[in-house]
Amino acid sequence: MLASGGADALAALNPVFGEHRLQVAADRFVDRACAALSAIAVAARATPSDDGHLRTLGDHGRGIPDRRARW
Amino acid sequence: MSETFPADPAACSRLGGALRSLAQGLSEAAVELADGSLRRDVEATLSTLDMIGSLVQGHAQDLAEAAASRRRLDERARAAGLVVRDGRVVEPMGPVSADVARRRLAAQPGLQGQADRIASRLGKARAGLTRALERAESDLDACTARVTDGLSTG
Repeated sequence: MLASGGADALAALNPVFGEHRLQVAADRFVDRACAALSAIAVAARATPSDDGHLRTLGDHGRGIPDRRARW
Repeated sequence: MSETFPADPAACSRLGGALRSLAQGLSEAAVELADGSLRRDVEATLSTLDMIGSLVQGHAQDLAEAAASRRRLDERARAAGLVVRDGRVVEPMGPVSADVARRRLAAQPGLQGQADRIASRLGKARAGLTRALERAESDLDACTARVTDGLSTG
């Protein structure tokens, strides 16, 4: 479950808070939560090396380099 | 005053519940991670999700209570020959006798006070949740940056 992250489930929700500033804050929070969960999911999929450190994403060919380029 | 529109307490409650369920489920999975910076960041992120989930669920309750209070106020206003529009207790259009006008005038301040208290309570609740969300957003940004930096630097 850690690898799946749960970001999709959060992103699918559409809460309506009834006030503009709160709605903006809530939408931004959900965006950030999805980003954090996605980053965690990628990190959790990365295999720890013998010394207990994560390998870089390049070792696994996953998508983070592309996302970082977009940032 | 910030722009308002009809809230959906049930949808807000679903978000709060989803955040808390997610935090709970992922916490159980997070114990598989070795001790280290990633685990600390995961735990911090999940703690933030759980805390905000709890606040959002509480706010959904605030919204439901405010809606119920507004319905009661509408009924009282109607009984006094008045209407509530955009938080203001006012007389409906149309001619009335002097006696009815006097009764409306006497009832209006008390009803307006109730309307103001409902709006004030909800405004405070909204402001508190907004501040919490804005702080949490910064915390999540910091965690995400650390996690992604950890991946890119190995």
